[in-house]
Amino acid sequence: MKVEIKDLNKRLGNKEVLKEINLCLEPGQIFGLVGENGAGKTTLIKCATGIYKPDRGAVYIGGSNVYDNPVVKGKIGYVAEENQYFSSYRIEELLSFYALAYPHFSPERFRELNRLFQLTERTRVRELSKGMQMRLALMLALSQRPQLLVLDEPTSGLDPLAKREVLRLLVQEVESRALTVLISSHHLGDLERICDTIGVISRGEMRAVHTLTEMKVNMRKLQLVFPQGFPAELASWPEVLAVETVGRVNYIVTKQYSEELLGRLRQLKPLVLEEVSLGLEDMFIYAAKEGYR
Amino acid sequence: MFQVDVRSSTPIYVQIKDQVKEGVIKGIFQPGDKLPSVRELSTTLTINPNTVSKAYQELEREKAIETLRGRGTFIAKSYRPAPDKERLQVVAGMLRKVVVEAHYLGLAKEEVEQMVDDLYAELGGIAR
Repeated sequence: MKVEIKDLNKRLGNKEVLKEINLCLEPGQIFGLVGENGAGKTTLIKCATGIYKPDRGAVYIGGSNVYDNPVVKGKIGYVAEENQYFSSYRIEELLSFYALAYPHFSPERFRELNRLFQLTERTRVRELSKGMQMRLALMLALSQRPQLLVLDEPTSGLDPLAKREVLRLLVQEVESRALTVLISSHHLGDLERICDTIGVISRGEMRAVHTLTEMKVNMRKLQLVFPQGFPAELASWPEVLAVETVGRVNYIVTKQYSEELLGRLRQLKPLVLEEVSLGLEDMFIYAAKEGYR
Repeated sequence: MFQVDVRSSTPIYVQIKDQVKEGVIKGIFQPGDKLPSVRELSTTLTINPNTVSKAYQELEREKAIETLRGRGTFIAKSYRPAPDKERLQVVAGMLRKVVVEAHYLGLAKEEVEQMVDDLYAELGGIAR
């Protein structure tokens, strides 16, 4: 399902948590939301799932406003950061509870998914470890056969193996029926494998939204040394995003890398012209800081 | 057999494409061999299935692989990979570094050439 977030503003207490957020997710897209603690990720997610009422603007899912709309909410699978189930419930009791709440919930689908994790249905929720609770939450959300899956920090606090299993389950689900996924995390590393698009949120503002492929192609870091010092004009070239100098070595970060640009740089006769690796984390830091478009 | 480096500046779908082609050059894949399905590959690598689909679509457009409906994806029977331009550039770049380094060490051109000849002799099997 298509998700459109339009001019979203949200204030909590007297803090402006979200400012003018605009965002559009296409069906089949896996969107990663990154940002530091307190940037507004969870608030954005709670607005997108219709839990919070926006102060201004709105979130449209499949064309209808999600707030106070049980029909649309029935199509959303939501896995919160802390999953507040009735902790004394047994899993089998939760299943019947979910079947009451969600029209498309399928206990058969749950059992199918559970073949992998082997949770005993007689177990009470509070007896499960954190990782198992997260898997339970994900399985319950997938058993709703949602058209939109919203995951808030799904991998935080999981061991590497559990993390991989959770991501794997997600990948399989996306492959078998193109659902839209919105994931938040402050670990870029968890997201860069599976997301096609990543949005950076900082102090309540959406700083950058990019597809990973496009970013990797356009953003490169080059190491340059010039015999007569750094040509100042370079900093104002439209393709150059940032310039850094360490001793005699200059680094430039490009926002529009091309062979043609490389050719022009060579004409300036640098002693050294080499590409150095630029991690995804650095890319997003530059993108957020320097206003990469 | 597939391995992706998510940190690399090469997009993941390009890495997959390269590995298929490289696999054919090295003989890991023979024409007619079956490739893992999108589901299998995205699951084993835990990467976005759309990324795998994109790699396969481009390979198919380049006639390197073919998809038979209901049977899977195969290395094309007629596929003869050519070493591509980009890879040639990579090799040229590496050679350049070697030549510069050798020059600073005070090696003459003939000495470098001798070293290359020795290497070819040592690796005998790969010279064509």
